[in-house]
Amino acid sequence: VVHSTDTEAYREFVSARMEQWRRTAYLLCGSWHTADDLVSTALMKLYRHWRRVVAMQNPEGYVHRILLRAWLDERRRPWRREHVNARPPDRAGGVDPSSVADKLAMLGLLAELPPRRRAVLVLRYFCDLSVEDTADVLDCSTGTVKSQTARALESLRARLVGISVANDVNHIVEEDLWT
Amino acid sequence: VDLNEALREAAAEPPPTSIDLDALIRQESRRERRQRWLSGTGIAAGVAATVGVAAIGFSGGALPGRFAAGGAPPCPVVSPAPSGASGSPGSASGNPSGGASGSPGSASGNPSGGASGNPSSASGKPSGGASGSPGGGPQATTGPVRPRGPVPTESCGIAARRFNQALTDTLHRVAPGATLTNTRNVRLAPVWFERDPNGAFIADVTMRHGNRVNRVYIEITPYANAPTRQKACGDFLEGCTHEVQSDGTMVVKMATGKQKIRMPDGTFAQSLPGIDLIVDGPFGYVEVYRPDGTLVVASIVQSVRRMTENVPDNVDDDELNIPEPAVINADQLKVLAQTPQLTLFP
Repeated sequence: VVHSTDTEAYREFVSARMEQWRRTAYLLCGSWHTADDLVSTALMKLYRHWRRVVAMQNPEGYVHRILLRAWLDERRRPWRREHVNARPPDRAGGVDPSSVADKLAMLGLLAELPPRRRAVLVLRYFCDLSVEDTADVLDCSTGTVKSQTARALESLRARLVGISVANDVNHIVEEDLWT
Repeated sequence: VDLNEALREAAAEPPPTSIDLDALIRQESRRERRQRWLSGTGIAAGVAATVGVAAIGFSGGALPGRFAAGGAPPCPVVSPAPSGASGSPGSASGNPSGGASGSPGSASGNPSGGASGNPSSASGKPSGGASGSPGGGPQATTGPVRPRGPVPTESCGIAARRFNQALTDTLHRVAPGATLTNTRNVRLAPVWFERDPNGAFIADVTMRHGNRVNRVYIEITPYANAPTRQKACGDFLEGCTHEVQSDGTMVVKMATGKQKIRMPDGTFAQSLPGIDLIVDGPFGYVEVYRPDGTLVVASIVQSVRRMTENVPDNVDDDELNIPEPAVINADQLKVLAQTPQLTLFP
């Protein structure tokens, strides 16, 4: 049972973080409309388990987890199966460096990744979660997180040939492999 | 540009959100409250199974069997599950015990000479129950916590029969032509009030009229203090009406709306083949606080059919549930709940 005092705490907790959750969801699914759906689902579940969640050490991790599951569930719906149509423009030599910062290009790159690799990147490099926290959200080992990260970054690197971002990515890949 | 920065750029400048947090909280509060209430039957059944019926008496902690021995009809108690119990199956009149001596209707027509019609009469109101637990039922175990209230003095079996008759009559009056069946056990009489371990009388009726199907749930229990509108309506004041009538009866009515309701015990789905376990349809809810200390809660769930074939692309999940037309509406539900004989203090 959620009482009014709990409701206020819930409202406060959610209000302070909702925009960040929307952005996270958007990077996962690539649509603001769907992102709002995902966040709504997460907020409902959060409300239902609020009393248990507030007792957790890392309530935000719980939200990330239900957000991620909501997205994975959403993708499984037959009529919502994802069709990658936000491909970055095909050009000789890969993506134009000048367009890398472009939102659509970035989303297109993410959309090409398998879901869990996409999730790993978003959680680690957008939400700034540690390897351990990411593993907790994804319910997998830290080793899996590292390998998924490495493969996700490899995929990105393949698209970003010879550009500065690739260098940054290379650094990240190397850091990951050694941490 | 690094990856962190690129991701932040990509998610920068979000459009205004379509999420209405207040609406979401209201919706969830409503769902939670109704689900908790709807699951009361299941919880009560579990408690009954655990503690047995020996602890359940209506006044003085008497056993149901002792009512029978004393000449009064037995006290029907909530059974753990549809058990195919003997009873009087399919009695169209809703008279559960085969109508032994006299018609319950005649006994209950107006037993107290209009006292129930004028419940504010001081003499009609039993003294407040200090224990708050009618019959000393197993309140301390688990189950829904109900407000404390005065202790009824009428025999449980007689009260149940009176309620059966009264509700059956009202159902036939508000929905003539509708077929009634017992939702929890089709082999029992369609309208069959049972005592749950907390002392509440509950009845669960499925109404069919053509292809329209509704589930009606009635609960009759004592209460001590009528809640304020704020408390009665909870976090969802919008769509909730609160009315105090001239005789002091307070009526709280929730607007019908499309709500997601999952039946924890699955009884609705089991009794209605072809209807999905998740009932996602219009819902009506009425609470009637009589001045004599009786609270009558009436709820109706409208059935839905779930589209599972030829689902077009881009159809929202909610749109897959197609509500059936209702057999009765919220106003008729209010009439049901205000049936004068549905009082614990006749």
